[in-house]
Amino acid sequence: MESKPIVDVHNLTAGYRRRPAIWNLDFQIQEGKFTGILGPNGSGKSTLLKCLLGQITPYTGYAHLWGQNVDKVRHRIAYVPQKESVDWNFPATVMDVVLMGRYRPGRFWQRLGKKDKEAALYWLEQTGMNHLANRQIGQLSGGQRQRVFLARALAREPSLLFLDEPFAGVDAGSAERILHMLKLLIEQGKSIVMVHHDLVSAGKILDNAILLNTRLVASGPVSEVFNHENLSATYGSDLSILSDVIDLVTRNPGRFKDPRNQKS
Amino acid sequence: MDLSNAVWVFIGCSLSGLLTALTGIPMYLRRQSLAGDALAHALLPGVCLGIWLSGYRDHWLVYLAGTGTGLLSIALINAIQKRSKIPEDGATGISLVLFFGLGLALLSSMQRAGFGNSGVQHLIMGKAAAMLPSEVYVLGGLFILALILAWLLFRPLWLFCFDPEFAQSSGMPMRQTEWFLNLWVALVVTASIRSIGMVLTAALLITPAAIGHFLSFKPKYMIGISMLSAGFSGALAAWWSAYQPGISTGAAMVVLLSLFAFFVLLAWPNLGYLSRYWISQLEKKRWIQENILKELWKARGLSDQELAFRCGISDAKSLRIKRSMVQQGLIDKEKGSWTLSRLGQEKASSVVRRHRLWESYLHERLNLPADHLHDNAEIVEHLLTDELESRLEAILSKPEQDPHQSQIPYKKS
Repeated sequence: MESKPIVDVHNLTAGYRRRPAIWNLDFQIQEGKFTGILGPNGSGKSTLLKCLLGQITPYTGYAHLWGQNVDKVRHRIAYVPQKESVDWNFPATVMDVVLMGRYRPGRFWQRLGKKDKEAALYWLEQTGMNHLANRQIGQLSGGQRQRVFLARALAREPSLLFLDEPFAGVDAGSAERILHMLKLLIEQGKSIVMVHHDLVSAGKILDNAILLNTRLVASGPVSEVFNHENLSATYGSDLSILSDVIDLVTRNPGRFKDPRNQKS
Repeated sequence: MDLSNAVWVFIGCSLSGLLTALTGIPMYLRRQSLAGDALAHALLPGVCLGIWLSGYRDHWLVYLAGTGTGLLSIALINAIQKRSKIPEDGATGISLVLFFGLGLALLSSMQRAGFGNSGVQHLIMGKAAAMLPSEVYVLGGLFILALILAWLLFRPLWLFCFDPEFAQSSGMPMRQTEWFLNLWVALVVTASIRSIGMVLTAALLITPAAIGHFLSFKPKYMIGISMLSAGFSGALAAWWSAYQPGISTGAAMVVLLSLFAFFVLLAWPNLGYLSRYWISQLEKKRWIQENILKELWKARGLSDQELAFRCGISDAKSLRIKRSMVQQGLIDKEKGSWTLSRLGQEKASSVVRRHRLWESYLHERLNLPADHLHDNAEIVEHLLTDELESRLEAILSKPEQDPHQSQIPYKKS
């Protein structure tokens, strides 16, 4: 049975500082699947993720979740950023960080209650971090930091979970635990979209893959898209004309933006 | 209320400290300490304008115009950054000098125009002796409001400062939150100008937060410590200036607060630099003592020189440490050679046991060759706890010998 698309990306071009990093992407992501976004460094993986999360406005096209703008469905998603994106000397305990996941748009003035603390504790237990609840976050190892981030995201009880390279700089034990949690989510019918760089493990853990190298190379079930032709197109360098055009766009003094994409 | 001027000054300075400390915490946590400085400087033209237009220095126009130019400077910083390749610190510098220069120009022309005796000259350095009750009321009102806001918005704000990406993905209104914080800082600094002066407000925004962060990683303690240290230095500064009327309260507050910060950084028990140095020296001494015990346990009747050589320390140092070990009842000198007391015997065999257990563990579980074990065990023998030792015994099932075929000395039980 064909499942419904949960992410719909149409003709999406986006980037930073006028430099497009992804070019005319078209793909859909199915509900209830474990989907990976794969590509070499600089292939636009992070830009794509930022578009999906509404952190940057595309130059052309759109990325919709459940057929709507992401701002309308934020209560149904959660995000696990790269652990390098924050300052781990920040004055906060593990518990404080997981409680951050209980923030809800539209009720931010309400203080957290008993229910929120129970939920945070539950997810700390699930990620095997409850014994460290009162530890300062700076004292955690790389794998433990990632588990705290996962617990924080899951405390939002999302239907769709985004992760940015969750296995980078993580010890084997933590990686196994994280993967186990992610598989449980899929079993419960949730959907996962993950930026990933390791092809070998990707083949084993993912249902679907989106192969990216500035433009879309292929998207679909791993068994279909993982072939020599696609992989060499993803990781090879046959894009000299496209990158020349991107340079042109970057240097051009005009505004490279579809006038229909007004929101910033 | 009919209070003497000194009491108003005292209340006003304490409130300024508490308020700026609480307000500065988000700035410090977002690494925007410099932006606070720029904002404080940018209030000057607005405040001057407000005084000029209204003729009073506690008029609502003063607060409005001061906050206005403060926010304008932040907007300028953002605009420069967005539309050019000038980085944030560059943009902050440009904005700071532009607004402060404007303010100074206004100030000097106002002094020439006869505003000299209305206290404008104290805007820059602060002089609480001239504080009006109405200004203290404003500070008090803002402080109560700040406490309520902090109580309500503590968790969202902590998230906003810690991880903007996650906050954004959760649907937090990022730009509104940012402007709300800027507006609040501008208001607080405007209200604190009388007691602290604009040049030094930045110090009171940042230093208390730094002290709090240094002393605790728990958010509530950090906030409490920050506010207390700034509140106390405010109170002390008021007292100081009451005795020495020439001194500016702003400078006094900053000096006191900075002295406290230095004291904390240097000498706070367990955390300060000197304390940590002292602890590491004690630890070093313990290692040497344990090494001496171990060497005496392995070879009785070692000469002084031989013992010092085996422990890798100078003869003089070895003598000093042995003297202190005699006092602790660990060793004794009999017929010219060192012997272990019963207590010393026990401690020494514990060190040797831990050394050899650890070697066995490395050899068996980590498959390290025999020549890789010793150096590592020389360190770990001083660190293992009783609990870890019994776990090692259990998983290795109490081996008789270590990998070098030396006997492992267990406790007789």
